[in-house]
Amino acid sequence: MNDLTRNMRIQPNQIPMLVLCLAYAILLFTLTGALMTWVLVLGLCACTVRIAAFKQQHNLPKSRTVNLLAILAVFALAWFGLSIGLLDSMINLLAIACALKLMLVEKKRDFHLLICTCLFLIGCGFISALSLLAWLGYLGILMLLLLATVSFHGTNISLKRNAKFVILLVLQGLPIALLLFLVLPQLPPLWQMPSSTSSQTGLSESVTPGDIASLAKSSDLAFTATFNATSDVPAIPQRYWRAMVMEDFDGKTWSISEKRRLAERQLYVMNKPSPLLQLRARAQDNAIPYEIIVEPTHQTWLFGLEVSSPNNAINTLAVRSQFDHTMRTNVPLASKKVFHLHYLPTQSITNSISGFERNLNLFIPQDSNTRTLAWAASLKEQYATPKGIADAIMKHFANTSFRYTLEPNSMPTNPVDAFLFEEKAGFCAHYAGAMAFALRAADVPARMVTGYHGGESLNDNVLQIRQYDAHAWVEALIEDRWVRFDPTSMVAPSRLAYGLEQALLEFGERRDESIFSDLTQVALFTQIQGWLRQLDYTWSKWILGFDANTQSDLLEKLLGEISMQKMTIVFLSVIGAISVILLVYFFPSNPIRAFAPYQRYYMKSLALIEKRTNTMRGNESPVHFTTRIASKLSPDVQKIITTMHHAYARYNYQEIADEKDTINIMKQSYKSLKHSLK
Amino acid sequence: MSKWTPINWLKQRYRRRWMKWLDKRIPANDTIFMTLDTIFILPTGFGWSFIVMAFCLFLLGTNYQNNLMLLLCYLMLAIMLLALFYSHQNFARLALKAQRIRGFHCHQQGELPLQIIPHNQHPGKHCQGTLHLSWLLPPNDTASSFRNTLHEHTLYPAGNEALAKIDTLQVPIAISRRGKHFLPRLTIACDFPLGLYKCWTHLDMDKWVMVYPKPIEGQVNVVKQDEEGEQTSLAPSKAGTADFYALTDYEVGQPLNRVAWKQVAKNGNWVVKQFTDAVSDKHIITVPQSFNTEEAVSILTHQVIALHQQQKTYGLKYRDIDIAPGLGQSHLSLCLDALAVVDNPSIQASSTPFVSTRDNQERNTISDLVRKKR
Repeated sequence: MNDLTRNMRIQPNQIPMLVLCLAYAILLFTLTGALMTWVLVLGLCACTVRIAAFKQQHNLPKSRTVNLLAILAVFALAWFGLSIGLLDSMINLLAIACALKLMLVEKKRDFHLLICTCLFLIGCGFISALSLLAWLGYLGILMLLLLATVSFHGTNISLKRNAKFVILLVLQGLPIALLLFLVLPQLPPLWQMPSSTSSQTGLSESVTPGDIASLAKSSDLAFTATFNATSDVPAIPQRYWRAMVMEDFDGKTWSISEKRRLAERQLYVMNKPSPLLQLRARAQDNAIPYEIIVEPTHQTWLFGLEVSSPNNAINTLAVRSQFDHTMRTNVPLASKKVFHLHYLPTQSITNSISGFERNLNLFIPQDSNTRTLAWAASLKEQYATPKGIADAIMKHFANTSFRYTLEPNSMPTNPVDAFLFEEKAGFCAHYAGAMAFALRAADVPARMVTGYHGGESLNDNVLQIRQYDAHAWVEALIEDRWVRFDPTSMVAPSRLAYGLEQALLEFGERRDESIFSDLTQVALFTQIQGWLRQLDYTWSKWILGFDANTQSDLLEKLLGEISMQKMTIVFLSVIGAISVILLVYFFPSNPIRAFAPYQRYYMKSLALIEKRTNTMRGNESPVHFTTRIASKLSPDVQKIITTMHHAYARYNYQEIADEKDTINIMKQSYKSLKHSLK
Repeated sequence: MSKWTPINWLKQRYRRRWMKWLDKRIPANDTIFMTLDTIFILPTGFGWSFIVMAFCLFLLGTNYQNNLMLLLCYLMLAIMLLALFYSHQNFARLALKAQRIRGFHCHQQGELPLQIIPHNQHPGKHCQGTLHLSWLLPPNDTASSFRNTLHEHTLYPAGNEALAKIDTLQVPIAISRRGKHFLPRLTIACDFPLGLYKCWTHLDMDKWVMVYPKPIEGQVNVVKQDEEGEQTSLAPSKAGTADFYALTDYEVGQPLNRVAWKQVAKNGNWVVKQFTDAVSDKHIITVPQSFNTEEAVSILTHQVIALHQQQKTYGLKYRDIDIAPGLGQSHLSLCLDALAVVDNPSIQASSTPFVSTRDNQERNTISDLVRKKR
């Protein structure tokens, strides 16, 4: 055992390398989403090789071996790079470069290169991890990197001391960083960056019944909506958050129509005023402003209450309103982002491209789902108006024994027929898909809309919408207006009134089949979860959602109207503030501090005697001074101060005393002096 | 000296002005306390790459509209700023005192002992990290006999006050030409604590070093000097057993086996036994004028050292050197010094061989002025 510890003993000059390896390994684990498995393994192997080489330096691979490995790795990366996208390839490349360099560190330069690359990798980590916890974790890794650097440059200083220094450094740096964050201008994106395909989340652009059910397994946050007042928050049945409109059906899958995309592009190029903005103009005072903080989806679509229009005057990222009344951003959302919207409760969705929209939403593949086609034809004969047909279908869902479930049997052929007449069990996408198909078959233009429904209240005026709130419903064109029909509400009214969990419970199912699901019922757990959510919301709103608008709002609140002159003053005052912070850090606040401890006690004692006896020492030497006022001092005090004179002289002039002893003597004497002078 | 070209001329001119500026800014002194004036500080290569990395993170953060990356970038900038102060603060605690340099032969390497002393403005604190030392010599200057040597010294960490107190740097000096050399400026650099900044200074320690000729064995003329002052030439002296002759006062450097211990024990007077051989043979060594100067001084140096080791009384006569016979360490130094500077008056091995105005006299007055200021 003893032998083992001696073998495992790490030399002081190996500590920086060890800390760096540790930081790199942790960093690799945080990046597992972007890294390929073989890169991860390569990185960990490099760490192991480096640590193993502490014992025997010649165990390190030769530079020729590493070069060969590098060529192999580059070929492998080029091969896989096509499938994982540009951004992930870059991250993988950096991780590989780090791993290879780690095995070859010889000079100071190599070490510094590694530190810089790891710093950049931390930055890459923030592309996908945005929570407060992730920030704290990466701050920890940054501190490890700094610790490695400090240990590298002061090899003979203990690790504990260095760690203290790094913590102090980061704590001192944070206020300055925060100040810079608040004041330095928040620029719009300079150019479009490649986005990570592996991290796309949320709704997809096509619905084959089954997709939304997989979302239902996830309780990740989708977005947060903040209203100005409690009264602005819509009632639960009204909380339909529209995201995408599916107008193309091929017999199995609903998707966004290619014709629609083309039309949107053309209309955008022609610069036609979009219907959402017209609605906004019509709504006048009935517009309720609210903002949504969208989690990064790495996609371009946005969601808003039915009907909402973007408030582009204060949006930092421009939002395009489409003619199907949905909203899109110009770049994929790679980070949490705030969008300002107007909810227009009095307005309804109009047919904005008359004939085109009508024709687009009447198309059905004729050779499949024949039973439904026949059923629709009979409905059409029975009811004269489109409204009547739609109501009849809704009634059919309500009156026939349909069942709501997240795990329906698969329906590979003629899915609508199979669902309507055989299985009679499914979730929102099944119901919405079947109804839209039936309506089209009965010559009523209809389409499927996907988005979210519901939302949990975080505060009185804040709603949080999670992935399991994903929903699909139907819009039918009746009297040139798109009217919403939600067949799911007929089958499982509680899905709309109380949310997914409650609806599933009524049908004897659970969303999340895990041992932790029981835990969520415990009050304490719910309480803690509530706090964490609140913290996360605050973090999102103030740190992640901080943008040019929030910045100028803040400055306006502080200074009133912003002018060029005022901005100059702000920048100058920030420089001043940073100088003051530095002054606080580095200016010796108490001149006595600059002295060694034993001197400090000595001087304090003399000052104490001066104060108590009410005499000034001036330039007199301490020994002279105390002998001059000896009459005023008690024998006890005289004895103590003489001890101090001796100790001081012995250490400072004769240099024969140990420092620690001297400090002890001085400290004890000072204490007893204080006591006897009381 | 390199060939005359306009660029070289400009370089030299610039260097001369820079040296003058340095002389004013960091005056020569053997005890130096770092102050604001004496410290230069700039980011190192690592520091610049740290800044570039921060800028890259800024671009990345702006393009992805990611505030966390921006925060990281600003934190890095803040650390960069703090490191500036920490590096300077650390280096400003350095205080050095140059101690006496022992003379050495030109084939050897000498050492400048620099003692770390407590700083007068930062008592109880001292500089940490690794010091990088090198001599500030003009680039590709072949005329200078000074060879630059790089030296590293790791200072004791804080908390080790007792060790730090006796910490002394031994800065190697390598000079291949004999003579009296003034030391050039010494560049001391330190990148503690993060390696982001390099603090450095160019110190003139106000010291000179005597470089003795390389001793070479060879034939010399030994002139034996009688009491009457009559001189007779002899072959190179050989050591012989001798009879006791007299007691003389002890001089530092004389061998202890000749001390008359009985006398010391009796009355405390340190006296040395003198033997007839040593006394009567008052040798004066010399070489013929026909010898090449370098060869001559080398041979004489060897002889002087040999005679000193044999405890002989000897004198020296060569060209304008005329040293009366004597004995002991100080006599040896006198002879060696004289030999070192034959035909070779004080050479400034400083980095400014072209500056002729700064002679010994001026140096003294400058340093005197500085001392008076204190």
